[in-house]
Amino acid sequence: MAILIVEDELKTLSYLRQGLLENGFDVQIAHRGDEGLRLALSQPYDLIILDVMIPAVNGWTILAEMRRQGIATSVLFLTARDTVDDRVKGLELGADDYLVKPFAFAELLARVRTLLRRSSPASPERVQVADLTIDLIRHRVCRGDKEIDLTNKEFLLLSLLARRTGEVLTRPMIAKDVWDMDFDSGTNNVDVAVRRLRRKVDDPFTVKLIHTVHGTGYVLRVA
Amino acid sequence: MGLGTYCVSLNQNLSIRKRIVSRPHSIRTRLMALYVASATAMFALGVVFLQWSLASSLQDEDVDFLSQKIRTIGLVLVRHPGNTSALHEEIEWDRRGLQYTPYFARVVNTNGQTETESAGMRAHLSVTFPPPQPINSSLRVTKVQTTDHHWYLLASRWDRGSGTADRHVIDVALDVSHEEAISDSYRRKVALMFLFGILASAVVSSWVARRSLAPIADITEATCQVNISRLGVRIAAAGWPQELDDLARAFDTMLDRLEDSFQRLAQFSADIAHELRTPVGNARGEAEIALTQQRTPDEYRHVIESSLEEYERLSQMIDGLLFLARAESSNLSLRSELLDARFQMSAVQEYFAPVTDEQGVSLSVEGEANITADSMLLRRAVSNLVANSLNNTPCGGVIFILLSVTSDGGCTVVVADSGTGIEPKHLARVFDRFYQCDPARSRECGGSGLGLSIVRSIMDAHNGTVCLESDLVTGTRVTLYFPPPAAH
Repeated sequence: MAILIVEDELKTLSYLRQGLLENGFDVQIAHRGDEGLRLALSQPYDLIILDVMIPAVNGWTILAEMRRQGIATSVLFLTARDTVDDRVKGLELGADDYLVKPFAFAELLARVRTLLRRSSPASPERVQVADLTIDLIRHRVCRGDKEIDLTNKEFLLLSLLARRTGEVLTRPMIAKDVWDMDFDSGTNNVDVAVRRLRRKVDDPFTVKLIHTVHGTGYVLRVA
Repeated sequence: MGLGTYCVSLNQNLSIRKRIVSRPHSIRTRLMALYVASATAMFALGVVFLQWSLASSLQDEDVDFLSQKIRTIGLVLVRHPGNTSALHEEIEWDRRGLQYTPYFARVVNTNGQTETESAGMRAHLSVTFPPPQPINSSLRVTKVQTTDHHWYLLASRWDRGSGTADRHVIDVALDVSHEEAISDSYRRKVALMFLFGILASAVVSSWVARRSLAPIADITEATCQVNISRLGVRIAAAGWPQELDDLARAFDTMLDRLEDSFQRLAQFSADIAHELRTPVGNARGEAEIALTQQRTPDEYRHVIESSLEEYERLSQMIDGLLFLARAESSNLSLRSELLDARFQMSAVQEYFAPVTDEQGVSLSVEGEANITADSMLLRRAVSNLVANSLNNTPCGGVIFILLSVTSDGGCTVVVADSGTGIEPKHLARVFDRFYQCDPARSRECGGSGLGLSIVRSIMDAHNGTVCLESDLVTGTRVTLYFPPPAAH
């Protein structure tokens, strides 16, 4: 999967490149708008990550020019400005997503994966991670032969983690997805909910599946 | 933003001052114009009245003379019918010697023949007399000017009633040129007086206006004493005229609010600096110590994880502050819709369920209502209140979310807890940004001190209100009032 990052802040560019490379993406970078536009128009990419305020040609112009030339590559905007007008402008120009700085890298990664997955919408009926089986249709969870009794929200939380196996999910992402709370409540609700889920799903078993990523969030994976 | 607002109001103050300097006399000019206009109107009325009364009293005398004359001639005609010489003598009587009166008379019979007339009447008076009036009517006179610039009063009357056969028309004319001359000179004098009066009233009104507006200049000077470093100055005590006293008081009230806002702003800046200093200091300190010597990978990992937690705190703070800033500049996008409040509150209840379970606190929702609001902002406001309640409610306590419809069609959401309550001394400031009743404890609970400020901003955005009551025995009760949709 080839990703182009256009960003003038060198530190940001550097860590985004490293992070995406380490997650298995093929990354190219540009730190000026004109260079970014040239690359975007000449090379095929699966996704372009654009900063709005960059020298020479700004992100909006790059996007508009790409769309004018019929290039439909997904575009994710990064910006420090998050007024509603900015959001609307970006989306009207044909941006696929919008992320406001400062953001958690895990969040960016999740958005990138979502954008790249968009073309393959098939949602599975069952998710299997190690001996954990989640039946998304019948709302049943088993580890090995043992069926685990979960509340509705616990099931949603576990299936979210399982569907994104190996991806780190931040607390706001979890709060939004499970409880539809699209804001930072400044509370430890998610931590408590994950702790209770672990008591049922992990504690009785030797292989632990739900892991804490300190300072970021949670991930479900084998070891 | 707060700072912006205060700067703007001070600049406005300065620009008002500039405007006063560049157009200094506008009120004075207006007052003068009004004074002069009213004086002119009064003068004009007076002049017209005097002129009219002089003219009418002069004319009354003349009319008396003329009607007297007509009566006398009529008497002679009745007593001595056909005696032309007696008639002529009577006509000429007043035109002789010291009694000389410049008048003419003529008697004409029904055939239109002149029976007698004053000497020289034809030569001096080549005018047509008005039609004769009946004998018993009050005498009407006509004023004419002859070709030799003399003014005459003319009157004409029958000597007997209309049924009588032997009737005459008596024409009389009185030369009033002398009276006209007096009247003319009087008019000229009055016009002069009139002009002089207007001039004098202009001068006097200018002086009066300047005198009476002097306090405005004084109060302007007094208000210019106030600036950012001298916000404590108050002007009402100086003793102004009654009209300006209200203004001075209003100005002082504004200064009170301004000073209070300034203090809050200063406090806010200090608080924000402090709040930023803590996480930055932690992250920086840990990183510095980590780099002073070789560490194991686990130790490095721990430092990085810990600094990530601090960055998270900073991010949350920035988000909160941006939210408040946007709300203050009315830039909050409000997606209001009709919501089932019960459903929204159940969502909040479910969100907190793990924590309330762990903490042994019961959280329940009671009542039903429909609310027109932005669902995410409604959830955020209530979540902030529930989070506060959870921080203050010990194990075994209860938290209620009560929904009710108000008589005006609005809706209230009450979040009440059986917690420890807030000390009265903190109540006035709990909605201030970063204000924390017990800083050590709330930081431990993850509180940033922005929760209630955000609640208030959300309620402001909905044109609603938030009201907090608390005591140390029964706990805290916060009422959110959402007005009916029309008021949005």
